[in-house]
Formats: sequence, C-alpha cells, structure tokens
Amino acid sequence: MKRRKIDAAGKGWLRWYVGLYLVFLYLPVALIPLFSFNDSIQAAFPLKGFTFAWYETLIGNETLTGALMTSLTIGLAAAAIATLCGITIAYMDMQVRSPFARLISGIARLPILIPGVVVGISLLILVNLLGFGPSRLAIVLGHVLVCLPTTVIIMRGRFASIPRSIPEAAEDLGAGELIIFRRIMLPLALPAIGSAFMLAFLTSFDEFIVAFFLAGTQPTLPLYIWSQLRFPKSLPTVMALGTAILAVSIIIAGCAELLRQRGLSRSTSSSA
Amino acid sequence: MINEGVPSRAFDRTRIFRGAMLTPGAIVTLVLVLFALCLVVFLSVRVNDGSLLGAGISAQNFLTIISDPLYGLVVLRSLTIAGLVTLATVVNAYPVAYYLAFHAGRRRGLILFLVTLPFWTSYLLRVFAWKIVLAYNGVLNSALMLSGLTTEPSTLFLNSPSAVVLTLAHAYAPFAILPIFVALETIPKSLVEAAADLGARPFTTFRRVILPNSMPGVLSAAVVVFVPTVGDYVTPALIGGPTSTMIGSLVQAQFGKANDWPFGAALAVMVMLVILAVVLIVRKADRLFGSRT
Amino acid sequence: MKHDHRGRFARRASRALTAVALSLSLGLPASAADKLTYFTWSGYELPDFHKTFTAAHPDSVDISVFGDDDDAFTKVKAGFHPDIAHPCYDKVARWNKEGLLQPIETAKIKNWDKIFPVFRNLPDIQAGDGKVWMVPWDWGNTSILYRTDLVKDPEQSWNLLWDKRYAGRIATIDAVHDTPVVAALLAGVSPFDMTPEELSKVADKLREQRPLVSAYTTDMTSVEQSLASGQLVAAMTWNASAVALKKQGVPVEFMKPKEGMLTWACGFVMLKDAKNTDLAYDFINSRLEADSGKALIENYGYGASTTSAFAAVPKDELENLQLPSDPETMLKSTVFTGPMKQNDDLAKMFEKVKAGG
Repeated sequence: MKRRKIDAAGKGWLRWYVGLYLVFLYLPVALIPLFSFNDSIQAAFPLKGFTFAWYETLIGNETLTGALMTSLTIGLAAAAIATLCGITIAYMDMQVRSPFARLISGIARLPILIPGVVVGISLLILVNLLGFGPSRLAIVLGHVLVCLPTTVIIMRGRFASIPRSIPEAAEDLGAGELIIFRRIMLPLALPAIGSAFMLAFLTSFDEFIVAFFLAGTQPTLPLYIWSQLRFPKSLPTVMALGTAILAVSIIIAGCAELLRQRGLSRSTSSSA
Repeated sequence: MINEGVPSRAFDRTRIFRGAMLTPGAIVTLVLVLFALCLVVFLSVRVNDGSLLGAGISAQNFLTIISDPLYGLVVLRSLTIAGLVTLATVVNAYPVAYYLAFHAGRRRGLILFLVTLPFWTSYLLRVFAWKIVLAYNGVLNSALMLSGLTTEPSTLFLNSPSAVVLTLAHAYAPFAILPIFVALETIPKSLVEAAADLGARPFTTFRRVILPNSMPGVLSAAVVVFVPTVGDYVTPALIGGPTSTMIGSLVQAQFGKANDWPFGAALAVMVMLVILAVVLIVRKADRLFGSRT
Repeated sequence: MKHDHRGRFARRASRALTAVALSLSLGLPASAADKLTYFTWSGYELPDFHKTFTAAHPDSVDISVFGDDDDAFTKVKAGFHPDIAHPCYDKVARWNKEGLLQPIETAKIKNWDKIFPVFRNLPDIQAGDGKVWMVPWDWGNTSILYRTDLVKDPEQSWNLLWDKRYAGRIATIDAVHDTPVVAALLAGVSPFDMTPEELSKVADKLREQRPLVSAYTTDMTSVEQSLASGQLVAAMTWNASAVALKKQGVPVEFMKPKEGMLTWACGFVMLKDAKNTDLAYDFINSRLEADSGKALIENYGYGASTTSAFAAVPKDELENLQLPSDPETMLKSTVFTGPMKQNDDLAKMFEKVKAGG
C-alpha cells in the first residue's frame, strides 16, 4: 500500500516537473508574440499599445520572407541528406562492422569539433574549386557537414542497442542484408530517425556562421537577423516573423494530428 | 561447381548493398570533412604573410599558444562554462525524457511537439527574448521586486556567465531530450518488469536498470551539447559580457579582425585536441564504471 | 514479396534522389555574366538607394550582405568575388595589400565634384592620376551617448568610459577602430602609427577599462535598450542611436568630447577581377545622386558624402538628426578613423585584453 503511494507521489512529482520545464521553455518564447504587437521599437516593459504595424512591414519585406523560405528549403535538404548519411554510416558501423565503415563513422563525427569559421572558409575554397561557388547548394553542403555528427551519433546509439539476436534470426531464415535493413532495422529505428531529422533541421535552421561564407545573393534567416543587429529598427519586424513561424507550425502540426486521429478512427471503425 | 552460382549471386548482392550504403557517407566524409580537416591542420603550421594559405612551415603558432598562459586560461574557462551548460541541460532534460518514455502514454506526441515547438523560432530571437527576461527592467527583475525579494533591479543577471548557461541550457533542450528519450525507449520493458518481479522498488529499478541502460543516450546528449558549446562565440558575445569570453571568440578574431589565419588554425587545432581528449576520457570512464547493453 | 522490397528500396532511393535534386535545383546560379554583384552592409541593399540604376538596368544587380566588414574581408579573401564591395575607409589599406582592388577613375564618376572635399582628399584612397581606390558614400560619428539624468554634468571627455563610479554600467564598441583608438587617444599615443612600447601603453589603458565594462558589442539594438532602461549610463554608439533614443523621449546626450569624436566613412571599392565594370560605374553613379543620399540621411540618420544630398534635406530635419548642414567644419574637429599601420597587432592585443589577458 505504502509502495503504491510512493509510486503515485513519484508520478505526480514528475508531472509537475514536466509542467514547470515547459514553462521554462516557453517563458522567453512567449515574449516574442507579445512584443510583436507592441507599439514600440524597443522590446521592453511597460507595453506601449497594440499595433499590427510590424506585421504590415513584414508583408512588405521581401528580403525577410525570402530569407525564411531559403532557410526552410536549405534546412529540409540538409537534414534529409545528413539523416540519410547518418543512417547508412551508423548501420554499417554498428551492425555490419566493416573496418572501412568504422573509419567513415569516426571521420563523420569529427566536424562537431571544427569551429564554424574554419568549416565556412574551407568549404568556400572547395566550392570555388568545384566551380559552383557560394550558393544555396553550397550552404546545404556546409550544413550537411555541420549536422552529420549529430545524426551519426543518434543513429549509432539506436543501432547499437538492437540485440544481435534479431538480425541473426533473420539471417538464419535466409534474409539477405538488404532485406534485414529494409524490413527489420529501419522500422525499429524509426523514432530515432525522426529525432535525428528534427535535430538536423533545427541545427541547420539556426546556423549562420558557415552560412555566411557560403551564401551567395540569398541570405538565410539567421544570417539576415544577425546582420541586422546594428539596425535596432528591425527587431519588432523580426519578432513578427518569429510569431508567424510559431503560428504556422502550430497549424501544420494541428492538421497533421487531426488527420492522424481521423485515420486511426477510420481504421478502428472499419475493423469493427 | 554446382554451388558456384547461388552463393556468388548472394555475395554480389551483399557487396552491392554494402557499397550503396557506404557511398553517400563516404562521399561526404572523404570529400568534405577530410578537406576541411586537412586545410586547418595545414594552415596551422604555416607562417602568416596575409595571403590565403600563408608561407613556409613553422611550429611558431603552437609555441606562441603554449607559452602564453592566457590561452590556457581561456580554454579552461570555455571548458568550465561548457561543462556547466552540459550538466544543466542534461540533468534537467532527463526527467522530461523519462516522462515521455514511460509515463506519457497517449500524450507523448503532444508533449514531444510542445517540447520542440519553441525551437522553430530563430535562435537569435530566443537570445533576445532571454535578454528581455534578464534585463534591468526585465521580467525577472520585475518579478523579484514585486514579490518583495529585492528593492532595486540587479545588473548581475545579464552579461554574465550564468546568463550564458541559462540561454544555452534552454537552446540545447531538444538536443538533450531527444537522444535520452530514444535511449530510454529502447530499454526492453521485460527488463523493468523482471526487476519489479524480483522485488525492486521503483527507485532501485531506476538506479540499477534504467539509468545504466540509458547512459549511451545520456552520453550522446552530453557530447552533442558540450562540443559545440566550447567553441561558441555568438552566445557569449550577445549575452555573456567580458567575463565570459571563450576560446571561440579568439579563434574567430584571428580569421577576421586580426587577419592571422595560420594562428587561428593553430588555436582551432589545439582546441579540437583538448575537446577530443575530454570526450575520450569521459567515454573511457563510462566504459570502466558504467554498464552498457 | 519481391515487389514489396523493391518498392521500398525504390522509395528510399527516391527520397535520396529528391534530396539531391532539390539541392541541385537550389544551387545552379542564374547566369551571372550580366548581373552586377554588390557585397554590402546589411541594410544598404535597399533599392531606394539606386533608383536610377534600376530604371536604366532593371533586375541587373545581385546583392550579398554582411554584418561586419572584417567578416566581409575574410569571405572575399577565401574566394568570394563580387564586382563591388562596401568596406570602410580604415580597411582600404588591408584590401589593397591583399591585391583585391582595382582603381576607380574619378572622371567616370558623374558627381565626384559634389562629394565633400574632406572625403575626396582622404589620403589612403588616392591611387594617383585621377584614380581612387574607394568612392566615399556614407559617413557618421561615434561618440559617448549618456543618460543626462544618471550622469550629472560629466566632463566632456572620453574618460567617462573609464569612470570607476559607473562600473558595470558602461558599454563600448567591439571594433578595432573604435575602442582601442579612443584608448590610444587617452594614452597620448597616435592610434595610426605605434611603436611596440606605445602599443603596450594602449593595452594597459584597455586593461584598466575592462572591469568597468558591461559589454563589448556592436549590437546597437541591445545597447539602445539598455540605455533606455537605465542598465547602462554611458555607451559608445553611433549618432543614429542618439537620434533614435531622443525620439523616444529618453533623456540622453551625444557627447562632444574634447579629444574629438570619431568619424568613420565607408564607400564603394571595385574588385580586381570585376567583370561588369560599366554596370559598376552606373551603379556607383546612381548611388551618388542627391535623392539616394537623401534617403540614406532620412532612413538611417547617417551622413551622405555629397553636398547635393545635404542640400536636398530640409534644415530642421538635419537638426533633428544632429547632422550639420556643412559637415566640412565639423569634420575638421573630429578624429577620422583611417588605416592603422599596426591594425592586426592592435586587433590581436584587443582580443587578448577582452579575454582577460
């Protein structure tokens, strides 16, 4: 009886903790929409009045919205490539264990050590040698380099904890390596793949040191914001953009959740 | 003779599979990563004459670094701040990951979404938001004064190492939560049930079964947070003040303001070796004292 | 069964291929041959500044931006080749030493004579024979912006930023041509040519200041906010910040220190391997039109280099912006931040002092 009380108390404490942690996560972020409606260039208390003016400047500001689009495209591409490489490298390293794969895996995790300015300069030299120069493709390559260690580390962790009995059983049943990978390992690793992709995307979306060197004529969003810090007038407009991004993410996730619920209910009702 | 056909075809398929699997990774690492690494090592032994790749071969850059105590001091400061950030982030993230893995149930997707949503706003915006919270007339000071704990605002919150730790612990939250969550999720439920069947209390189960098995995830999270933080110069520049100057600022300055690329490369190489040493020591300690699957 | 695994493999392969195709489609640059590339400060890319160019050559300029001209130099040195760039006067020598520039013929600059003589005659831009390395476009002043209610009647001197009474409430600019230059002035040393002993005197002066400084920064957004809230009582800023805070009703004053304000000037340089030199001249000319300078003055509060621009802005507007209608006289009493012979050594020393050494 006592033990169950302690268990329940523990669970209650945990729930409170998660709630407090979410408050910590949202405290600064909640300020962004707040000040995007504030009628003042300064983002400071006391609030000075409600206005849509910053959103109006946002709509007119093509550079800013263009920078957002650029960042999103680059983020998706870089995350996709980095996750793909992370999966393949980690799988070959942890499950197949060929020495070449282990070497690649080791080298792939080294970029996390290299300062951004060094990555930026060396890749700029490289893309000039290769002929296509600073451009969005160059930034994608740079970000793949920056995100690769994270994806490899996460996927290695996941593949390491899949017991060898599983692929061995499949092998005994006659499955080739491709089938083991496609039909057993990948589905088992799906949550880790999702995490790796998400973290790679977030890394690329926020990265601007490498992006500066590899940017051609289209800046990424953080690059734009960073270079605008000398101009205090632009902060509220950028906050309006941040709020817009939050709103759109909520809408997209909400729709995805609704679709999933509908899909679930349809499958349960049809099976009934 | 008769068996020649089948095994060799199967062997070929395996070869093709392995080759295809390794190709993307090999291209990226052997072309991009090695190029960057070779360039920085090459630059570090050159003499600066203002040109792109310097001239001659010399160990002077490394001698300068070793002989000047300032660099060791700054590296130590960077390791300490990065260590505090890692500790704060990972320790605070673990219970959240634990909740997600074991207690969230149907709400798991929602809470995962809630945990990652704040990070869809740009990092720079979040730093500015923290500045608003920690400022002289900011949220924290106002709250402290309203509750009567202080009578006048404090200038100590902003532009200090603690501001750096707070901001980075916030920024790296998903980078800690997700790897630990993935590791916790893969612990077979049968292990936990077996412990309970053997009479272990929940805390004992946690201490002796769950925690050790989640250590690989915890270490992954720690590495992903610690390593980039050591070389970060943006966060200390925006919110850290002069007492938080880290080694990344010095490296950046050599490539920019001071126009001494070889020296910057030498600093970068030294920092990379130090971080690598720290990570290897921690992994060795984990292997000796921790337990793994 | 076979269909199934081939289908899945195809799906995975197609995911990879789309990623690659996506990136490739992102990367191929539009034919760069006919477009002018201009590398400039973020905020200076606005089309308002080159209206006549856009009218004559629609959609012919590609603009890349930077936030700091030291970063710009690093990127150009690493192999980025625009046609025109926009560094500041004190860095021209460094760009030249690297062999990055080609001289600009003043005869081809329509409004060259409308530029104030003090800018036209800057020593380091002269390339001899009617040629210059840089065409000045914008300028401004750097000085101490302080709260008149929190700092009572201070001595009109840069020493305010070294005042121990305001420890922790002072900010200064994180740039080699600002804070170390001021430290040199206060140490009685010429900032533009120092012996090693003089360099260490400046280092000592900077070390004296470090415990009092709340931040070394170029983030004027935060500096203005901190001055408005009272967290800072005095900070080194550019003149535009003075205008902005006064407009918000904050009681501040932009000091005229006895040692002299700092004046900076930036402008257009042409890179050595620039392909579109004709477009480049057209661009520079359109930026020297009166309405371009007028837009600069009214949007950002910084000075334009042409007399015609100043003539186009109404007098009371200029007064609000604290810009004299005749900059020549004012500029004679300020310290012009020009190239420093020991720039790189000074930069290294400054970084070490900021880090605690």
